[in-house]
Amino acid sequence: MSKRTERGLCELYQQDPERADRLLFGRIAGPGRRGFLKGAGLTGMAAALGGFIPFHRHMPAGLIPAAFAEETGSFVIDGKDGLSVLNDRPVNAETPAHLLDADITPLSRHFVRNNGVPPADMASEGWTLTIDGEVDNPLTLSIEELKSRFEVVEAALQIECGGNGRASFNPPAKGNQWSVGAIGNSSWKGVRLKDVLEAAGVKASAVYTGNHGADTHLSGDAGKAPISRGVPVAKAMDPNNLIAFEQNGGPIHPMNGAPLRLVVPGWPGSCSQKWLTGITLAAEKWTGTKMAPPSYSVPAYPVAPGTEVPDEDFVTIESMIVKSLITSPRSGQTLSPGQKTLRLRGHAWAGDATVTKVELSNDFGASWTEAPLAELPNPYSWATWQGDVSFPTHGYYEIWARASDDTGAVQPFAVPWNPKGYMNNAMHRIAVMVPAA
Amino acid sequence: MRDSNEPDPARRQRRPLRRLMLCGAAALAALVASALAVPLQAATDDQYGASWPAGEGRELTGAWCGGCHSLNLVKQQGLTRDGWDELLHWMTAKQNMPPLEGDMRDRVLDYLAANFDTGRDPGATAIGDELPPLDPVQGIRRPALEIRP
Repeated sequence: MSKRTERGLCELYQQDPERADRLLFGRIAGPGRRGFLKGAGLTGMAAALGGFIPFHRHMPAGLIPAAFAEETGSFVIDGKDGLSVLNDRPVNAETPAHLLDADITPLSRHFVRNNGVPPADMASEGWTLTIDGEVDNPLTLSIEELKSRFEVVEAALQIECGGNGRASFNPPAKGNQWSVGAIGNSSWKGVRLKDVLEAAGVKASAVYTGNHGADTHLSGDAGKAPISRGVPVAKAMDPNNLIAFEQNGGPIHPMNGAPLRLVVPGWPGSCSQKWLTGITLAAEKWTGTKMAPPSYSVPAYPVAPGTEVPDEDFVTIESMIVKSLITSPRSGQTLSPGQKTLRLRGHAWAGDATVTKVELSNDFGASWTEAPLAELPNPYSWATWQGDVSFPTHGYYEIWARASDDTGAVQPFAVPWNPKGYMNNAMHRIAVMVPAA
Repeated sequence: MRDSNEPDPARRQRRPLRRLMLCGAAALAALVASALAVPLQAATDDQYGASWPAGEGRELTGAWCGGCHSLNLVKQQGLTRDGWDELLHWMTAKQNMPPLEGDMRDRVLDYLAANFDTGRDPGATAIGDELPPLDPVQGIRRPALEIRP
């Protein structure tokens, strides 16, 4: 190998993309600079990836440098609208608060948190779900069999990324820097996880579930799951968990886990495996990818900001905690001259608990007025609240919102710093300018 | 566009190409497998993007980190050199990153620590005209916090 090739893949492709294709993968493109003339190239590349390459006939020669293009300006996720893209490989995108105003989050506004490469084939036909491990009757079911064998139910269920709010930790916490919008409340249709597990016959020895998805690891290692988390059997048996095959009355968005996903509301979104292919019942706590600290874990005791925390001092996050968003109006609004009141709307949710109250303040938290909650359509939906705020003078106001739940928990001003920046449920706020009359 | 600050290629470790192959292929897979979601981008002159900071180690770090994931993930972080060191260990132990050997590790760490340190503006990632999330924790800096036994 010459010194020149040792400079690395990027430079190699920069200098001569077609030669790089040849050197790396034995790939020789067709006369149109597309496709593979030699099958060996395709085989080699597929072997390195651990899978078949879809659309390989259309793959332009020297494509790899494009994969390295790093500006997200032109990056668009099909079927998503207005999302802020934090990361394009893997895809991670969140929704600005004012675009989350609808009670049922449209597909176009549901955040995306991918850990790996989504599967190329998301067709319902031929998709199967396997239940194995500590069960009496291991099952492999098609989506049609799920629909015909079990009661089909639909519910509005909130899914929130455990790292939602990470951006405001300082010292900065590692990971995608989510602001406030890694939360969604779509209407999910599917069968109860509990019903399917009971059909498989969960043995008394089972203590934890372990989920499997069809996405693949970014490193290309076919033997490594990008994410494989689970929950204690007691949580898995909650009748509100779904194995879902529809989102808002139609197919699930590809980036939200089509054609089959778990929805385990109230716990970090990572428990709701996308592109679901299997669930293993385990006799001990599941040890799949991102089960171990520091992933989805917080220190067992409060730590000073910036502290290095040993792995053994972490605990796995279970239920998420009480939180709310102001979704209308958008922050930065200037009222009309003479306008002294403003109607606000938003949503509140509380993990496994139930929201009991939302309050608003226009004086930096000195005083609070209650914003009534609409009736919940079902457990684990977020609750929509609406309230009016009045302004005694002109000037700059901030409106803060805080929710309380039935365990007595209230959203705080400040949250405990933790190394990975989880569980930030600090109050949301918007700015309002009241002009002089 | 070649990084003119890069030292003689001969200084580099042998065999990085093989190690990058898998990651590069994975990058390709990410692009292709998610083609239904992501229109292909045109190759640009600067494969790391204009916002990938200039300086010694730019190419090496860009290639090593960008082999498997977007550099946008790197650009969002703010860590001390020790924090980056720990993160590289984690990447190798848990995420299949090929180990950086010899002086390559130092060069990558130097670049990351110089360009993505803890001085990140906490509100910088707030979206549009959103106020940054309310969180007074952001005012507390560890060196200012003295904890006495």
